[in-house]
Amino acid sequence: MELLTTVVNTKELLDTIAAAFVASLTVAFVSSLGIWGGTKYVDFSQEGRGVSAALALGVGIFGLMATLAIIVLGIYLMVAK
Amino acid sequence: MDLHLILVIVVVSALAFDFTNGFHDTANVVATSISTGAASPKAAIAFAAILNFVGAFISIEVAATIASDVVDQGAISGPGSLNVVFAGLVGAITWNLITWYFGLPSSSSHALIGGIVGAALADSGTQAIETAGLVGKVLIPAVVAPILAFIVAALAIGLSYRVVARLRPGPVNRGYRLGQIASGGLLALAHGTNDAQKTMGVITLALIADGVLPTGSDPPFWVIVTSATAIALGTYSGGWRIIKTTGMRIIKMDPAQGFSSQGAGAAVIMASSHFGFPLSTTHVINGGVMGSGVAKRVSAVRWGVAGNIVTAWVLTLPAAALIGAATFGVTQLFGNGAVGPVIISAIAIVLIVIAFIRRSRQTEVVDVQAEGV
Repeated sequence: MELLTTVVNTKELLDTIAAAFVASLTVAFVSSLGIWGGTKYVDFSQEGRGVSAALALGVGIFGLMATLAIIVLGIYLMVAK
Repeated sequence: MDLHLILVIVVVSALAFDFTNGFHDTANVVATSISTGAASPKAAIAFAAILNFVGAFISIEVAATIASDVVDQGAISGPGSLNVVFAGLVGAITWNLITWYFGLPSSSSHALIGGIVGAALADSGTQAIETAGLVGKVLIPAVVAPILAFIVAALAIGLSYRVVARLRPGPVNRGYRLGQIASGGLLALAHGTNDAQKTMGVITLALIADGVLPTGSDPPFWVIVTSATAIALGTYSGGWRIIKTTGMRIIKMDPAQGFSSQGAGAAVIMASSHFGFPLSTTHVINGGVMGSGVAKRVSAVRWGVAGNIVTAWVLTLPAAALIGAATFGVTQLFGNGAVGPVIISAIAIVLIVIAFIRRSRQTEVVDVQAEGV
């Protein structure tokens, strides 16, 4: 165990694991939110529920923008490496 | 003059490895996009090839990890040093082609590390190996990468399914297919940045060893351009056999699973790159694909195929090392000059051509049988 902690940079490993969990779950959540918003906007619009449609559209746009922001952040992290 | 001939052979071998890296690892980037219909095969591969090319230019930090962290450069700096690099490359290329032949996605980086470690061991014994670097930067990440991607992708697909549950499948699938174009693009970019750098590092080290460049030099522009071109051409050639395994044979994938495995893979690779903990793209993506399958149901994963893949991962380092060591041994039969590498290169070219012809004939037979002719 001591040998492993010597050869493995535990902090880098834990940081990687934590960042991977946060990043992928955030991407999964916000992109799904974008899809939910877009789909619900169409459904509510067809049903003539204007307010609900507008709210769903807001959620969809938020999800899309957040997904794009994460992609841009990912590219930035690669370029700035 | 003799030494320069070896240098030319090493540079060509490194570019050949880069090419195999491109077509072997294309599967990681495009397989899920193709299998879910997010992109046509030709468009997905062309897109990945362009982004791999661009990725190679993003960072000029030389990925000399392979040579500096796992092999003691001082121990292999003698007259046979270029033969060590050559033998290591032959080990890596050979293992890449063997796993391609059987359609198994394995890590090209591990093949390269294994090849060079094996050749260095044959040249200088165990003193040439940086054990701490090999364990800390290669073996531990090799175990961590698939497990981390597996868990992350399983949680991500679980979360996605929860959010889009009870929605009409049509728009949901279209949305995730669109998302796959972005996540696949990020993966291709990350792959180009990481993997083309390794070839640049190997060529630069060979140039330094030959005295063409002073110690500590950055890769010259022509090295960056040729490495980027080789990996892009390799990617464009497409490793269809491995694409089929990753995209279709492990699980039957829906667009949400494809997006989750690619998104989780991109997140894991970027996180690891940012924090300096190197992970294999191959291990991450395939671990993610298995995780997204298990989250739906355990029996959704074809465990026989998954087992073959994991076996190939375990065998990659020792097998490439063995081939690298054997190749170095053969070169030494002819001394430290260029004769050994020239003979081995000639034999290797003949064997590669035979393997490609044999494989394409088998594919034709399978196609004809599938058509029921």
